Amino acid sequence: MAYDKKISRAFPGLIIFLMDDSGSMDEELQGTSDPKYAWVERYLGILFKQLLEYSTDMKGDTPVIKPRYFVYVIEYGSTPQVWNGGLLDIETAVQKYTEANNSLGLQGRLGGTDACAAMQHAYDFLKTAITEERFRDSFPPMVFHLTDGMSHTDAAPVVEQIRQLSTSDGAPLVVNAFIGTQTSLAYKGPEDFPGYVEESEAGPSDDNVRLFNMSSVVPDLMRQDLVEQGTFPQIRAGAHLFFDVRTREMLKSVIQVVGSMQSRADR
Amino acid sequence: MPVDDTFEALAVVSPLVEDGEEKNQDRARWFPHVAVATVCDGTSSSARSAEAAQLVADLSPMLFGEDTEECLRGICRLLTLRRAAAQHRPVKLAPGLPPAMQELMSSVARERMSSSYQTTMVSASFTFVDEQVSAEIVRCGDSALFAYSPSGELLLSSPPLDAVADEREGHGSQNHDFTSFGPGDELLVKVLGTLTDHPEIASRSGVQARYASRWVVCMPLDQCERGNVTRRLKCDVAPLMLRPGTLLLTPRYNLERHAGVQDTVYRRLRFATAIRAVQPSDPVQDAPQVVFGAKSNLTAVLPEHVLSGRWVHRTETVPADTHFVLASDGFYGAFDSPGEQWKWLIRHGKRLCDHGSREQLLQKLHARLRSRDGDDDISFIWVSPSKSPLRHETSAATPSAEEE
Repeated sequence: MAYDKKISRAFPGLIIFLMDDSGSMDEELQGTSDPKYAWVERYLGILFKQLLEYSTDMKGDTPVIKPRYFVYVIEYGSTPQVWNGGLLDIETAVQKYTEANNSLGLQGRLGGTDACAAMQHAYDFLKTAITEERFRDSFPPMVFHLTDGMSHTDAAPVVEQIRQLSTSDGAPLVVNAFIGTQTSLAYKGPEDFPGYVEESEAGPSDDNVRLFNMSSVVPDLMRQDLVEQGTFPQIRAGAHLFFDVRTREMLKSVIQVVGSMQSRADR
Repeated sequence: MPVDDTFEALAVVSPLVEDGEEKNQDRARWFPHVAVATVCDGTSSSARSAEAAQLVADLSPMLFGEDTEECLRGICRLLTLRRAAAQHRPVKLAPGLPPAMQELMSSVARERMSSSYQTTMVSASFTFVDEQVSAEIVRCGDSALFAYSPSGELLLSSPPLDAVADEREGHGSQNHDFTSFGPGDELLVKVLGTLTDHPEIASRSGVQARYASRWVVCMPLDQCERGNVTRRLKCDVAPLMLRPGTLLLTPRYNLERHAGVQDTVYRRLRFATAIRAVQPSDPVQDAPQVVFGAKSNLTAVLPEHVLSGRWVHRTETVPADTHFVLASDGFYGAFDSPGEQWKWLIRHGKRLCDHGSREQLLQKLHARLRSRDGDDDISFIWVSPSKSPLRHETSAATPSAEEE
């Protein structure tokens, strides 16, 4: 059965973050007085700490970190930039984030929105990484894309190439989170978010539909985790990993989708 | 008969080894003087879970006294006290940790300790009653109990199961004829006589000749009542799979108790775990596969889920020649079905009793787990009736290190 490999030091998890840092990310997140990028950094920091926790065993009274997760962060606007040199184990990633005053350096400073270039960079990295001994039999990598605006370019063909890659446990999972968009689905928040199963539910915006189609279908075990852990307790089977982020509560829960990747290692 | 003489048990624990370090959070204990078997699986993400597994396994015989619930709650109180003590201990950080990480790692360590001392548990106490075995079972989490007839029929299974069609060539056309007979179900049957009158069936049934007169042979005709599906899914009992030609053996008392019609030939038979199915040929090979159901990432654990009521306490009565297997998910997770698990035990029973051979076998199981969803500690206890031909053909003298 696919998507059921445990995440461990022998078979670590790999997450590629594509973070939109275009000018509009400097605008306030709806319902708050802080810019969108600040909320993204805040919740990403919580996620990093959570992944660090999953990677920590206690030897008596001493916490010992075992590299069970690796992250590769791409910040993009008109051009993509890689955060801190590239692939980092979670301990190093958290250290760098902490030393930078709990920041990834996002500021809404990178100009326009070229999602295709960012995805191409992710694909170029992933097609080699996925063949490495440490990742090729692991739970499939996750490509987590967070954006607040229309891309000037169409990333769909590159995403299709990403989804043709695979570990022995399945193809990479592509998650698309669109901050501030509107869809046809009526829900209040994470507590009753049903997920997008049909293309028509993500519409009518063409950008929504494109992102919906670029998103992987949530695997059964991951959906079970999202339900049982209360992240999205009502998410339907067959939902795509496409999320419209209307509030900061939704942003927090959407970022938690990455945490549900812990698979069966953490019970 | 002294308890020590009525059952035999083989207890096996094989830790996961990763980068030269043992995980070693499973515990398997057999208490021969009281015929209690217990398997505990310390939660991977919980600090000090090996200690929790050890504590629960050591105290498990106490569960089978007057007040099981109170005893279990007492064990959970002990776990939470140990957790509280661990949380108050100062965190010792590794030397050389950058200042920016020190406070964070202290916070991570405190989070870890707040969920320390977690373990699953399956424990059973076995008692002979007339010609049957009564198994009192206490279980919390995904550690499992299975019961098999000597011919390999699955009588009890705590993990959820799915029935799948037999896809082997030539068997496809028979798929639609299979029907399940499980908890809550009732069948209309034709009574064919006692087992004494059917020596050919008796020889395949596993029932000892001296008890044959106590068993009645029945032919299933029609379904009268269907059990509640939701309750069935939560039940530990595996349904019997019936197809045309399957005969049922029921203890005489079970048939008489449920007689709704004063007819000696056509009777209503309500499902009971003591009932056996005799397939037209070898049941393990020809019955449709009952496979393990969908896995879950989450499991109930002590102490949290005992306090919230998510644990099982039940008693099952099964034939005297029944074999029991208590196992962590690291063991049964290496197999697709309970039938495959049983075949593996039967095939390797003798080698499992020899330490050297056992290690080789278990390393192969670890390799199988690695090729599936990941390696894990492996532990199980195989409890069988003393002098069982299956164990005596395959068993050697070396006792397990886990036995008292």
